[in-house]
Amino acid sequence: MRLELGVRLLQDVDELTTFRHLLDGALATLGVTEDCRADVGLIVSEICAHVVSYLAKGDHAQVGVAVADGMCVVEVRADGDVDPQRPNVLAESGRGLRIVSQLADNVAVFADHSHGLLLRAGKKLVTA
Amino acid sequence: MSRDRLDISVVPGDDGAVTVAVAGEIDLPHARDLVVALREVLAAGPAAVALDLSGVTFIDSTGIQVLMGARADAATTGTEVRIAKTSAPVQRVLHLTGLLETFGREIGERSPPVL
Repeated sequence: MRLELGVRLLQDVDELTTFRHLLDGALATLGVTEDCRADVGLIVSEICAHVVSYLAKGDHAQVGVAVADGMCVVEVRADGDVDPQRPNVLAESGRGLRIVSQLADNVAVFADHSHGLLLRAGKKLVTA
Repeated sequence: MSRDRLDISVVPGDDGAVTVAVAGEIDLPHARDLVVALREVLAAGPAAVALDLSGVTFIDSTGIQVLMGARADAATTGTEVRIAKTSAPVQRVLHLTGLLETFGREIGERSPPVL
């Protein structure tokens, strides 16, 4: 089974709490442990918050979460071209990214900004 | 879809200090509510501010940034902002951000784990 959820930024910024709750409920249904769900919730929240801080007015990005094969993958894609002069979303240091790097099993940054793909973080799911 | 509310209550003490109790989730959609509440509290010039975060069920670095900002703002007028009570999620994020030592000495009480 594959589960996919998505949120649009900046349009849906007020719905981020609901988005996280929906994901948490789905993972609970799949039997994922509370500790692991807490990690996933933090990863999603930190990535979304960081993307919001990175986007300029009028910019848009999609944050997608896919659950399949025992993994939860959070992926950020910009809608349209990304200004190559703009710093990479992970280039800035910060507490949020420190949390993501500690909790995720893998974090990948894509340098090819012309495709609008900014980052991907994966977390192995632990089931009870 | 409407977002959940962050519950914030302000309780003045007899000694001029104020306790701010926060319950709910401190994430990006809710952080502004806490910023506004803490600015109002600090504008009244309390002797000190004690944060009761025992009802916080989720916090991320955005929320931590709000707390750090309030401490910095208060410090300009010599007002202390400290965490009096915390919760397991708060404790965990303070640890992950490396700020547990910063707040650790002042945390007086930790409620049982929420998550």
